[in-house]
Amino acid sequence: MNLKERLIASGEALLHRGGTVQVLVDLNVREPDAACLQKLAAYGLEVSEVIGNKLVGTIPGEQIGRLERDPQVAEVEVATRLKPTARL
Amino acid sequence: MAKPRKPPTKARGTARKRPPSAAAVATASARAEPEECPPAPLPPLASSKLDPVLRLTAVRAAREKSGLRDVAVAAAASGPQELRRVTAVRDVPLGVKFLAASLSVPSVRALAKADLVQVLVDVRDAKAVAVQVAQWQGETHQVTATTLAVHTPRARLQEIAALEDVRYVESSARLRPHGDLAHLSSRLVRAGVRSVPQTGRGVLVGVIDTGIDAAHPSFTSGGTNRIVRYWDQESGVEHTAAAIAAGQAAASPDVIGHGTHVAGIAAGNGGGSPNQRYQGVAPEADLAIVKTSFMTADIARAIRQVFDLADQRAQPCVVNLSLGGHYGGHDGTTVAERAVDQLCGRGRIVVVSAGNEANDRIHAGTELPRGAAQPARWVADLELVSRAIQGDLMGLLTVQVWHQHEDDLLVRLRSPNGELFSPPRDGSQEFDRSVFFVEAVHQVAPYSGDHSTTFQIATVAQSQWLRGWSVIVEEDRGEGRHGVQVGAVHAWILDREQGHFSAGFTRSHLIGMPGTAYSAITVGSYASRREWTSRDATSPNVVLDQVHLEDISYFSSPGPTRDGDTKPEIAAPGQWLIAPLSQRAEEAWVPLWTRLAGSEYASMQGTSMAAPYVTGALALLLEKEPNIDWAEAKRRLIKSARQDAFTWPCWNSRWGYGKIDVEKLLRIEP
Repeated sequence: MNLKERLIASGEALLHRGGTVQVLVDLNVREPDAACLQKLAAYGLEVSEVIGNKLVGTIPGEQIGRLERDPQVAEVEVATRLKPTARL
Repeated sequence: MAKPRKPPTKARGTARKRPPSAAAVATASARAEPEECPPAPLPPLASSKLDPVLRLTAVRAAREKSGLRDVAVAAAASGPQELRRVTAVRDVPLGVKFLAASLSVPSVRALAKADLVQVLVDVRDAKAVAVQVAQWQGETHQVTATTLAVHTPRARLQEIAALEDVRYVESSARLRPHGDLAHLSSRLVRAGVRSVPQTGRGVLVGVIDTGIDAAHPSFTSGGTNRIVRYWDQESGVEHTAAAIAAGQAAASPDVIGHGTHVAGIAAGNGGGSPNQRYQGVAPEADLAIVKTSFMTADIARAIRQVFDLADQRAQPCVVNLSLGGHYGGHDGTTVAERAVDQLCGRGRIVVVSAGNEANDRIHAGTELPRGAAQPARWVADLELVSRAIQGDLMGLLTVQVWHQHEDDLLVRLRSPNGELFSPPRDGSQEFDRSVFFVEAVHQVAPYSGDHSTTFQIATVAQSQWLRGWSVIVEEDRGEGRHGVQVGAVHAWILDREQGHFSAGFTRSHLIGMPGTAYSAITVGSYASRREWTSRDATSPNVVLDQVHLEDISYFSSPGPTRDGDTKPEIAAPGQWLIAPLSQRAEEAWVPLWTRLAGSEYASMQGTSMAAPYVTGALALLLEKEPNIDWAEAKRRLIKSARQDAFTWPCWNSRWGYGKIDVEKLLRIEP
């Protein structure tokens, strides 16, 4: 296994190569209506939470580009993993 | 500014209380003599091996033998208040006053009057001492090889202390609750009692963390568990109050122990500790717990769920996030952070730990000069750490460089063999070599318009490929480019375990995300404890000499944010706090030496511990003013912050506006 393959296998790769990823989506609309959510669902976005004009959900990695280009979408942020802040 | 420092003391595991000199004891005893009594020679103390309270009771016993009156001890028999009053007049040593303040009334009476007193004796030879005590009609129980619990006639105290095999005699007394050191420092407790009437009753405290040991007695009051909901994001299970009462939360254990400790600092009631000594800040608050995956999306969801629950229960709510990361612009504009802003409001507050990276060299930055003769250039060298990934050692590091939208800059990565890598604008590129692999991504952040360039480096674990990497930033004066207009450049290595900058690093801008969220209350840590008795039999007396009490913790991440926001706002006790220990916590996460002897409590440090302290304090404020909004709560925290010789008189990148003062926070009005 070369370095690239090991990096991808580790799940820590910067670029997403398929698989489902968690995303936070900032919308250009004030509050998404059913039609808006339905349109975004066509990209494979599964919304788990609506926070005002922001969505939390999952999407196939290869669909992120399409979602970003949707005029209703201001920003797509791929979720990152945080850590507890205790110090051993 | 010169900071006062404590002189170093003994190494961990070897500490002993140092008894005062015989001369000091004699002076103190003489001062305790009431003025109206005729001067009378006191019987000499057998030794200075008695603790200050025992010294008083031993003096009294000796006086009774000689028929003399002792006002101070008579007052002690009436209770600690009287003792404090009399001792203040008589100028009895500070140690006596301090101990008197920390003891319960029955204990002080018992020490002063009882024929038999209970003491702990530090001995060289337990057997020899036990034989001697038995001859004096006393009882002994061996606690450790060098510690005896002794019941002895009061009149024999001096004789016990005089035994050659006895090193020190300490009163064994019932302690008052609320006596933890952090609470004294934060002014939550004064003279052994809480300084504010609020306890968090009616307030919902949300803790989004590694889970909780729901069966820990600290979370139960009057037979009712105060955890009203427990979501496990990993398993997808939601435990209701009834399910928690039925013990079903055991299916979502806290094996790291972090969440249990954090929840206990904010809202534990001290159950299972001697006299509830290790009570949290808001011991009657309700708790909503989320065992999170630590993904930013899940954390945003969790905050929403907790606030929704607060809506259903019509309770004010404060959520604690003792977590963080360094992906993002460090200016509060990630979608996750703006979601936090959107969720905060009246009676809805989020508290976040600042992070622990003050010494970790994971930030580098500069201000490029504007209009210089030559194009401005900046270099930051970095070094990877070899670690096991997928079973093999390799170097893996991600560095993210940010600059403002006004500037046109070229951001490149230079490898140890001198190759230069950069991504296309608004795009990404891979560079695959046999000994290293680089991914590079450029993005214009949609919200701020600022530029980020991210490099991920994977290398073989050989020193010549782990070292010698550099980030190079150069002013772009090409056609149609503006060059340097503002000039601020910042770079972050995303995790201190990946590596560090070897040149160009700074000790600023280290607050993690979501601590940089605008509406979040971000908390730094200072030291409030450095000693405890652990259950590690090889080294039970833990004394951490390098901890400077009341000073900022060496690890506490400094601000400000990249856009200059004054974070952290406040500092709270976070360096060695004692709080509940999860029964299922693994030793890798909570080592034996941090676990307290004799109770299910542990000592931990980190801004993770400081944040829930403030969360608990805000629960008290929300009990008083349920509709206070996050901005006013933040203003009150800042206004009530305490400054002393360690802090600064104004905002400081490590302290924020100063130390939390719970009493003042609850007292000040809008």
